[in-house]
Amino acid sequence: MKKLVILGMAALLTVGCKGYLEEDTTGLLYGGNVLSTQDGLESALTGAYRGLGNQWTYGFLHPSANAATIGSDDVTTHPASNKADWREFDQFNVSTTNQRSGAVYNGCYKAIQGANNVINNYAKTVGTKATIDIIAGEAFFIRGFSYYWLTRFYGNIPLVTAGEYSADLLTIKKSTPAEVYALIVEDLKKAETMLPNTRRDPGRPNAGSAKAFLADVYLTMAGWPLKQTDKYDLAAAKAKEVIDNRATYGFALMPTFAEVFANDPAVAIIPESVFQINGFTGGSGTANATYGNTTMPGEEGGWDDMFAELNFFKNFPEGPRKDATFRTQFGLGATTIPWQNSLTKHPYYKKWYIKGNIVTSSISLPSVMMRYPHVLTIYAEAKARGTGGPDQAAYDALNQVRLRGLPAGAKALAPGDGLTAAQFADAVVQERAWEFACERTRWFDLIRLEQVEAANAAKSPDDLQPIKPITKANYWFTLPYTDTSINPNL
Amino acid sequence: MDVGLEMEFLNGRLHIEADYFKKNTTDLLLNVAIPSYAGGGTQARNVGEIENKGFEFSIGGSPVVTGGFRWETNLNFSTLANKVISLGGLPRLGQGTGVGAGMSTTNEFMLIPGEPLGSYWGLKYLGTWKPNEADAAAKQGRVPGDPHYQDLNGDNSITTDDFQIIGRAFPKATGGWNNTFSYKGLTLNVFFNGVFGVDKLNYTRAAALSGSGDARQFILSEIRDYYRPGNETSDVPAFTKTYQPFTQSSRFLEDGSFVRLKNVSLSYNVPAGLMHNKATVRVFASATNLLTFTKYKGPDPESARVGSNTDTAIGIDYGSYPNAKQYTLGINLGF
Repeated sequence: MKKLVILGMAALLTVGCKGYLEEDTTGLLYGGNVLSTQDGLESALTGAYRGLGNQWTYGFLHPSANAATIGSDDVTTHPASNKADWREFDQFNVSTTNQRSGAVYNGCYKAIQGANNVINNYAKTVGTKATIDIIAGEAFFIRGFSYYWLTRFYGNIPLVTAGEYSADLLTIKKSTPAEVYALIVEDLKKAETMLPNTRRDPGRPNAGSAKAFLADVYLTMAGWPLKQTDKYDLAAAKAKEVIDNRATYGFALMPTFAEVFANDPAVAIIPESVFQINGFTGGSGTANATYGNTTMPGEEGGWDDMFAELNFFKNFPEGPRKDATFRTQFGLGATTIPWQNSLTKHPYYKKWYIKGNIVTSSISLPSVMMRYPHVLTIYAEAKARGTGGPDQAAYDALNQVRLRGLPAGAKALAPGDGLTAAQFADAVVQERAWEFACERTRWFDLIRLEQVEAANAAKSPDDLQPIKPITKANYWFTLPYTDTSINPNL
Repeated sequence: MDVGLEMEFLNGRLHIEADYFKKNTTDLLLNVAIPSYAGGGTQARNVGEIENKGFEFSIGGSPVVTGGFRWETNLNFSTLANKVISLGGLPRLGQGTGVGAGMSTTNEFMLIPGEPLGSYWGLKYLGTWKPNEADAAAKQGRVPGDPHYQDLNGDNSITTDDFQIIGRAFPKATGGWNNTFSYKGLTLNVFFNGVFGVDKLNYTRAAALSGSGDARQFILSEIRDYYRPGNETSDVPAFTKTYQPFTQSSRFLEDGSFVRLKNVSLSYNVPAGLMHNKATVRVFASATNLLTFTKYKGPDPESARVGSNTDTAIGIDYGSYPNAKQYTLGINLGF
């Protein structure tokens, strides 16, 4: 079994004294020299992946992205303890020095910098064209993926396409979401044509991954803030392409929900994984901390970082999915206590328990950034909101996800049930809330559909409340102070 | 520039030395931060100019020389004022310590032209919101008992825009006082040193009192004074659901001035005649850090710093190991 081990590649930024020193950049991951060879290009690409996964520092291998998205109604955090930076998100009071959103910001820009380096140089690389195209395709994917996270978090952001540092970057102005999305779409369109149907390693994208993310991007563009509703049709068509060719891309809906979250470190990739960032305990800062401690209660040696909101849990439809989603009895030994008697008095997310309930924060498991049922629901919702309303395929897509989560014998939804197109679309959104609970998905749904206020109004009074009334200003975070304090134009 | 004066009186029994100095350092090599979107990290650049000026004063002599008894003493005292003159066009430049673990959210120090090096950057803590301030607190989404920080720009939201210079990490003055008393074979040495007019950012206390970083509980006895009905005068915040602590605030900035009995030692040279052979014998007892006079709440106002221990980022106490009190007993034998 091959595992993608992302090695840290130190991109050495050197400031030369021109005229005093002739630099030989051979061996550096910088400058035109190294990128003229295929091996050099490949190393630069590996460095780009590193931005997405650096345990505790930046990227997605620790629960920073989870923390930054708990303004949704599925996840909350401890009302006291050392969770001030988590509460800032749940209570809509995010400071510009918050290190959680900051970790995503830093990681995405690291990845972008690496990807820019590949993208700006691959045309000049000497080697096997087919392989070079794949390397470049992965770079386009990484850049599109990273900017997608950034603009959904921050809205207006610096749009950097240069791979090398220059003083001009210190005074760059912000770009609008429309400009950022234009680049994201362009990048993912290139990625879908340049990437192979089979991924090179579990932690890399294939053409299907690019298409799936493009569908998701279109769905988001159709909602707030751009509200380009013509994108619903594009989202549906792109998602359909992935669904129809799922076997080609190696995507499949697993038979039971519990299997999806078996979280067995011996399994490198599950069939539902559309794109994942691999964690690996053998490297330095490469293990994954989004499992284990972070979602376990103090009673089990956990950190109480994130757990279920009370009304979300209460309203969650009974069935195998609910059973596999939540942990409601705490204790790793013979005696257990119900969540109501625990210190935080909340059910927890069993989803992120490691197989065998190992208590650790470093494990060789991937951060799955999109699951195949996500694509099914993109199709169902986009079709319903687009031209013509939901067709039978949209119903089939929703039913696949829905029925797997419900008790055996649950009735499938059918066009004859009398749902309007809007009601059907809302049902899909609700289904996504259940299916992707605590998977960094709900927050973005609430934003694009402008439902953040309504969802938070329905919170249990026993959960953390927004510190001030939620407004559109809370939909985006303010850019990190580390950068705004340097660049006056941000 | 250095102007000095040196005087000696009474056959050398009293000497006085005074100096005034002013020195400007240019082309300082400082680490200038690069935005994360441009790669992050820092770039070493020759920027700026710093001015240092101060007095040095020393007085000493032998006030008592009588019979076999002799007291020699020396007192020195110096002041230092430094100021950033320019940062090569930059309006300001942050310098951090990299404490991490959820403690430092941004640079603790800000270099600003006209201000000294080691200027702490943070929020000004105004105590807890009091019951009669409930309306003002509510505008910020807080309730009485929550920490009250100065809202510098008046936008009813506490952010990094409200950060300001809250203290100085460079002492205004330092001094030392050394005394030697001798009588026949007996010698007593007493040495005091002192640091005056300095602020220390006590992150150790902050971690133990705000539920930040790796400390998840409040673990200092100070917490017993927390704000609650009947104890509204307390500035130790209440346990509320709107509690948002900032460790980088004047709440955890303390006066780090101290006077310390750094060393005291007593030794006795046993008279040669008492020994049968020609051996020399000296017995001694000494103690270091025996007494400290300070208002600082941490274990040691003098303890080492953390992070980038450079001139531009000093004075933070985060779990730094205190200087030990040491007692030494000994015998020197010479053959």
